[in-house]
Amino acid sequence: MSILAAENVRKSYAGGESIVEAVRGISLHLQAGDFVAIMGPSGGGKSTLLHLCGAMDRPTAGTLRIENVSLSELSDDELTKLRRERIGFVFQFFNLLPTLTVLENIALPSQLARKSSAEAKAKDLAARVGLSHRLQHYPQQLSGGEMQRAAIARAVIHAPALLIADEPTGNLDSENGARVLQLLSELNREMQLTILLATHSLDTAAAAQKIIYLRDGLIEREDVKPSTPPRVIAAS
Amino acid sequence: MRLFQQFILRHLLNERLRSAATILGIALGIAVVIAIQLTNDSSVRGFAAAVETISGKTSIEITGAGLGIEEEKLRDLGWLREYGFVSPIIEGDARANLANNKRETLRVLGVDILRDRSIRDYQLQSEAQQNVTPTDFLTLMIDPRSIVLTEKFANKYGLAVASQLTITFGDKAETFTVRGLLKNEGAARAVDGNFALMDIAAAQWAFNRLGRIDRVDVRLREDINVDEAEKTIQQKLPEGLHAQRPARRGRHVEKMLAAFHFNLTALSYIALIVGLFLIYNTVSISVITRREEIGTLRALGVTSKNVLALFLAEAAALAIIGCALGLALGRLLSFGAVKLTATTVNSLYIAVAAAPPALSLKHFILAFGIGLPLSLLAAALPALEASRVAPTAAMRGNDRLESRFRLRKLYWITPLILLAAAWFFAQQEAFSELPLFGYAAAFCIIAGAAFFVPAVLFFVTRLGKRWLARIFKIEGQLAIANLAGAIPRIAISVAALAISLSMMVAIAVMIGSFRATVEYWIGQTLQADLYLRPATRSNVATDATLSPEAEAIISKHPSILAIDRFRNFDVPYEDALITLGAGDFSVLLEHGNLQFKTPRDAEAKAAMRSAIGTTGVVVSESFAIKRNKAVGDEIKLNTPKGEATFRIVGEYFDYSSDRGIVVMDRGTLAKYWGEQLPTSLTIYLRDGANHEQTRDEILAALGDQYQVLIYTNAAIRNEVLRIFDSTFAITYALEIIAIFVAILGVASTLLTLILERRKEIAMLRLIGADKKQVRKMVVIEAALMGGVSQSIGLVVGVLLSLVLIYVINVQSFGWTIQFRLPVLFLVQSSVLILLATALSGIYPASRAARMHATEQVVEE
Repeated sequence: MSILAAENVRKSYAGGESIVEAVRGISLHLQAGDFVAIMGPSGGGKSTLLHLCGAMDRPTAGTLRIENVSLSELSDDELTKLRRERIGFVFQFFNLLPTLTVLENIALPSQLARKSSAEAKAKDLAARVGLSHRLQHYPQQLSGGEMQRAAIARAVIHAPALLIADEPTGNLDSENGARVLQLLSELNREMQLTILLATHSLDTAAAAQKIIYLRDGLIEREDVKPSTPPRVIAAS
Repeated sequence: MRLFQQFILRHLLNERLRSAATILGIALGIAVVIAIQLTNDSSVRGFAAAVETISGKTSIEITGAGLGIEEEKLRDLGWLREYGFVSPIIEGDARANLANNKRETLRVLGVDILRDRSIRDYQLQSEAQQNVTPTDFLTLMIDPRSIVLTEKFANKYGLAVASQLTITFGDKAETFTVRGLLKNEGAARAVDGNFALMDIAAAQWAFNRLGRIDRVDVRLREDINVDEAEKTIQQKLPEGLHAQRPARRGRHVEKMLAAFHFNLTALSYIALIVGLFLIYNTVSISVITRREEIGTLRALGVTSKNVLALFLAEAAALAIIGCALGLALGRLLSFGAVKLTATTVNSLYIAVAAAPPALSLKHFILAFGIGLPLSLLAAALPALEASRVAPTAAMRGNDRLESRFRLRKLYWITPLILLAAAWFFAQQEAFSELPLFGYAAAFCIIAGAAFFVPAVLFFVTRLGKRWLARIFKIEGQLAIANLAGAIPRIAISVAALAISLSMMVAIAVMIGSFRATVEYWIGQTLQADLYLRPATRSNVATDATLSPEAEAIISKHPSILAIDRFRNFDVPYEDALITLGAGDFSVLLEHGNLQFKTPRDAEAKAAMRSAIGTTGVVVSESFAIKRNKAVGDEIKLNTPKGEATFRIVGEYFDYSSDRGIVVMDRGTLAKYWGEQLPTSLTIYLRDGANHEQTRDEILAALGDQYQVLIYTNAAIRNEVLRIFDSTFAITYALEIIAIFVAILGVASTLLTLILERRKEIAMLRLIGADKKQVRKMVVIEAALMGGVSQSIGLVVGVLLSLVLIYVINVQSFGWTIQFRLPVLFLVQSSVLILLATALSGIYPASRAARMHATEQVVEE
């Protein structure tokens, strides 16, 4: 089943008097259960591609479909709804809300979608990511690894079709980084969760089944690595 | 300087709306202070200027004991000519009846023109009349129906030489011929040209003051020292007469208005203080939103002192513009403020021309001298925070405020200490007749409340979490979590709003209580059926009397059962003016119902009875409190027969004036001051008489010749409450401005919070919060801030009202007020404040909702 289909996607920004083309015609197809990593130097277009695939932004040209729904046909509110229901996000700096507890942070997307039983689900997920003992703690009271695990739990509470992860291990030590990657891999396997991950690190990218190299807004090359289970960087 | 221009000015220009809101806040604060200053000046200076202008070159004036000088005494004052020029004067207010039923008050000066030209300059306008000799002038004035107006007044109303003009003196309307027009010079400049000149004999006749004059003006020879002359003349004067400089009258007025002005001034500073919170907010916003830039500057070698100076300069720039605008706005507002206070000043104190003076250097110094340093003080905290930004931490952007607030002991011990201090101050006596300790108590309560705000927010955000989540779902939960995480930030804005709201509540409770007390008082005291006074008489212009002819016509009406002939006039007492009144105590005892504070009931009647024809007097509560007198004490008053001692037999409730009133029986007045015409009549009708019909019949009998105002009992009650309500109109106006500025502060704080949390808001948008949900969340935050502020405001307001009612009011005005809570008003205003603050969140909410999902979140 096609989760993400990008055809000749382009994105340009007006930078003063000049126009900067961040993505210059990329095509990408992800099926359910795919785990794809995007690598490349800074300014290569990784973040822009993630924004587009995560329905945070619209392409200047080309078509982008998530679960066969064309994003260009959706209004801002519909894009929000799509993100709320079908996409999850994990970021380098965790981006947990500092004023909410761990439990509240995890439950947040479900509550925004007015789903009942958000709290029970959040508790289950917290247990799944090993944070049952931290439910009433605030993000500032957690370690980096714990924060990222809470962020992952938040990202999957609504059972998204696609998980966008932007440098999920970039702010973690190797041990915590490995735990986070292991968790992502498990979710990918168990929930058939499609993951699109951007990273600078080859070790992190190694967890994915396929690595796409971007340079100057174009796909430079693709490496398919069908080695499963994914490589774990450090022994946990 | 270049850094200031690049870093601060450009930023302020980019953030035009926020800069404008701050400038508006400061400008309004300064404007209110300046407007009240100008308004206060207008009444005191208006009177003083009129005295000064009309006095001309008068060095010393000789006055009597409240009712002028008997004419025969002038014969004994011939020796005054040794000191210079001497001129007897009649001065009073009359009413010009103009075309289209327009009426204007005229200040009429009756002089002996031959003598008076040495003291005052009179320049006639028409060329043919220029260079007139005193004899020409005398001829001009010899006809008792002649009057000289000012050119300004004549031009305004289309009058010219030889025009006929009907003027009412007291209750008598007479037609006069305009014999000349004065140029806008000398005395003619007084009271905005509403000035008229008459011959002294004609003025005596017109004002019903035959046989007496109001004062004698003396222009001393140039070789005579004024101080010495004042002393020696005083020594030589017969008993009952006094020598004083004309300016003393202005000082009396200043003293009389001091408490009223002091209270207005204190109130005016609230808006300014609230405005200063805006400066704090704006500089905070600058610091918060530009931490990375500050870090960059610091990394590039800008010292922390430079950073501090930059942000203080930002505050100074905003304050300078705000103060300048505030001055202009203050001048504009002062016209409204003068109008709002004119009824009070004219009804209760003095009749003055209602126009604010022009701005002077004093006002510029006041605006910038207060606005600038206070703004810098308000900006000091965030500016210091900016100067402490570490370059590395700021570049990382993660050194913002701790999101969790810890409740320290300081937050509840300090308010308790301040509350205790308030209790202590509230027990102290007035200082120099001003309730300074009362204000200190109020200040302690306000400061205590401000310190208590973080603790209140802490408990509200803790206890309200589940409740809000249940009502407003996740948006409510997020809103309360956001507030909980920003307590140090929002505490200042909530405190500012709570303070202005508490003042509004306090004033509403005070006014509500006062109004209920006055309503009860008039219900008990005003027992007569009709109240009659000359048409030209205002509450304070006591020189208008009822003519015996008119009185004779009135008393013939068959429905009249009894008449209390009341006379009142101003007398100096110690260093101020008080009102001396005289009525028929026997009539009052039989028909009236004066409410006595001491003694009560039957003893009060016995006390009044004992005062008939004797030296016994009753005094108003404000007189007793302000002069520290009680029943049984003696007071000394200057009478035409010299200083006389009177004994206080009773103290009665009176809310008509805070000047202090001493009332004696008419017989006693006649004994010391001679027989006097009444200034008003209190009429009791026979049972079954129709009040309106009797009033109409009396008016018909008096015809056009005698002009009086007759109020029925119901009408006078309405009139008292009308004056009461207008007295407090200015108070509400000032409060509304302060609340507006405070709500501006809430909006500004919310904007600060949103900018501070832009990353979190972007995150929310990313994980699926739609614009509506973000907007709802911010509006709930705003309403929550308003709700907490109003709740604190209600509690603190009631405490403040107790200080206002039982301390400040008693010490300022000497009135006992029964405490009463205006529940309906408080409920209505609470709902309104909640709505207003929620509305103030709309702009910040739409800013938040506009934040793009990709903003901030993934930039790393």
